[in-house]
Amino acid sequence: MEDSENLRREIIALTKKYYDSKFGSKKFEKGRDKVFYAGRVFDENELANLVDSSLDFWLTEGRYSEQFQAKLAGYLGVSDVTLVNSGSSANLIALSALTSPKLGSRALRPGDEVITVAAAFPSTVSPIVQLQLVPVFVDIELGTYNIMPERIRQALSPKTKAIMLAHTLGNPVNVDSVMEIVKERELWFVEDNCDALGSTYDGKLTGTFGHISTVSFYPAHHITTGEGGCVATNDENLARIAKSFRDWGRDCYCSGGENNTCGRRYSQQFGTLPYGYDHKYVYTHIGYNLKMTDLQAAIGAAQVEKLPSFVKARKANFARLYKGLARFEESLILPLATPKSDPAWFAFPISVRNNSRFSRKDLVSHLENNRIETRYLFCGNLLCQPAFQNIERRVIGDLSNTNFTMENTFFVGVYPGLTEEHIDYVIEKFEEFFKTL
Amino acid sequence: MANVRKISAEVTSVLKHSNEVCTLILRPLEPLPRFHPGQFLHLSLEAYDPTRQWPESRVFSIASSPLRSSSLRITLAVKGKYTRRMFDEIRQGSIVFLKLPYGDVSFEPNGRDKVLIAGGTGITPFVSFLEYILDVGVRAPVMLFYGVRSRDLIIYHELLEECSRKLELFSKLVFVENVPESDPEYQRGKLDIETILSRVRDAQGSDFYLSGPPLMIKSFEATLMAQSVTREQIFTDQWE
Repeated sequence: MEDSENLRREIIALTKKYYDSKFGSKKFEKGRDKVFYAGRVFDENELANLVDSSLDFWLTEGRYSEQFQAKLAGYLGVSDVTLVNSGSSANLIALSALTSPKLGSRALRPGDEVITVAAAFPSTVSPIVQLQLVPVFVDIELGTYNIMPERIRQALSPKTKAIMLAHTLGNPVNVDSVMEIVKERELWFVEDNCDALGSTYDGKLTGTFGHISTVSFYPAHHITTGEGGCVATNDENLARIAKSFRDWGRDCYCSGGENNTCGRRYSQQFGTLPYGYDHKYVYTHIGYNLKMTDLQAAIGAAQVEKLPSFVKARKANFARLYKGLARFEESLILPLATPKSDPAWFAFPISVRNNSRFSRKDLVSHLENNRIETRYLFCGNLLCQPAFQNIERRVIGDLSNTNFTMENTFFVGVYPGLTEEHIDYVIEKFEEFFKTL
Repeated sequence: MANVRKISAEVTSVLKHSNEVCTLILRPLEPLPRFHPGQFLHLSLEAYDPTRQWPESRVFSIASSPLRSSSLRITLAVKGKYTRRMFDEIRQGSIVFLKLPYGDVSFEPNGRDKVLIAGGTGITPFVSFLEYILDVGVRAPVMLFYGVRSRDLIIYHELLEECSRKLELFSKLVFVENVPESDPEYQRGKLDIETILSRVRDAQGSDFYLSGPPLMIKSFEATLMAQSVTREQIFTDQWE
């Protein structure tokens, strides 16, 4: 029988060869190949890691999860990263963590208010509703598509306990304004960093300002594990609570396959359980099971190595596209980076101005007909969505900019899978559209 | 608790205190995660293969300041077959495998008065804290009560002396069972909770940290609670 390690090496070498054959570079054919708004970017290392992990057949969190967590924590400069099965789960876990009785009087309770925006992806707001908290919606700015900093104060009430915001399309929120209020009012700040991994504000990475932050590894995002996400924090207490909510709500923090790492498995008192009840089956939260598999983490461990180059590529694509479209600013609102920020753009948002001779539909149809993928700004105004129409909420002002983006905004891609050739083709098609007007 | 990491480390020094107790200095061969005074690690003699389960290991308090993370220190006491193997087999230059950090006990250098009560090698979880406050200073009184059978079993003597010299708010009383009555440096006899309480200026305003033999912890805990010290004020460091 051949040695399993030799066989493993042979399989990995073949996997790399397979990558070249199946996914090796292909030349972009204008008008025939689609210009996606996002997509997974990988090489033979992701494939090799995935196969390697499958040969371990560990399946649940294992060596690659540990590696991926450590690399991510190192990148963000935080003590704790908890891997989960999606960015949406990460948001649910992050906010759930703040409801823990372990936080005493600072724990969020039903009816407490959370300031957010309605121009959002649903899973930034859904956890607020799911946890019986009350979202308070503030309008956004056009251009940055982030919360209007000067309106946050108007949203405060005695019930305000947290601010939960996404850095829209990778563009950081005005962190100074948010943190000033967070500190002054001792609020929690949940930073939805799903679209912004690698963005900075005042030279510091987003995802490191809030008490707790989240990242998505869905293929459209900055790095991918297929499905996947994580919760990041520098607060070890919050990290342990988040892990508990992720792992069925249990109090024990042993990883899969481990026992008694705390050394007190049978010698603690919890609730009205008999003294010394097996800590593995003690539940201090009403939790979920939202763990990532080691197969996914294996992909992530290779992806995170590419993150700096991905961020660079996103910025370069954005800059090239911006330069190419600047001449159309009379008709289009082009994206505006938040002051003091350096975004790792998720995408390139564009709004068609009110006075234009064409509609968003006209422009989007032209692009789509030319195989350039577009997307609207997620939900538009979330409160117009069927599921959210009747939720309990407070709304500050008329959300006119939010409504404007629902009618006029869309985005195109700047992800690292796009080359200068792709970007130039997109610019060419914009030019073509404007010539026909 | 920071993300747990599994790392290898080289043993750079072995100091044998007796034929059952030694102190190891370990040089981590991979980056250490953040840890706090009072936390502990798992140590294994067997090479860790990441594709398999973590091998047999034993738990040891980290006995060095987190601010001196170029090395880790632990004190190993023989308790059974595996720790005997560790004591006999670990030499300078050995490679061992660690996973860390673990443990909820943590010491805040400021805030309430701290009363540290250690029986024998139970001193080790406090050592990390003492070294840490030497690094960062302390703004609340720290009293250490440390009991051993004989003078030669006092470990970390130099560190304790350094704390006495450099930290104004630190005080210690070492109980030694077999010591001449005339020795002014030590309190003759076993660790005694009544004596300890008589030395604590404000028991209700203090946090009590107990580390040592399980029977000692149990009995001291009961006495403290009988003296109106609440459960929330008592922190114990004990493993099964």
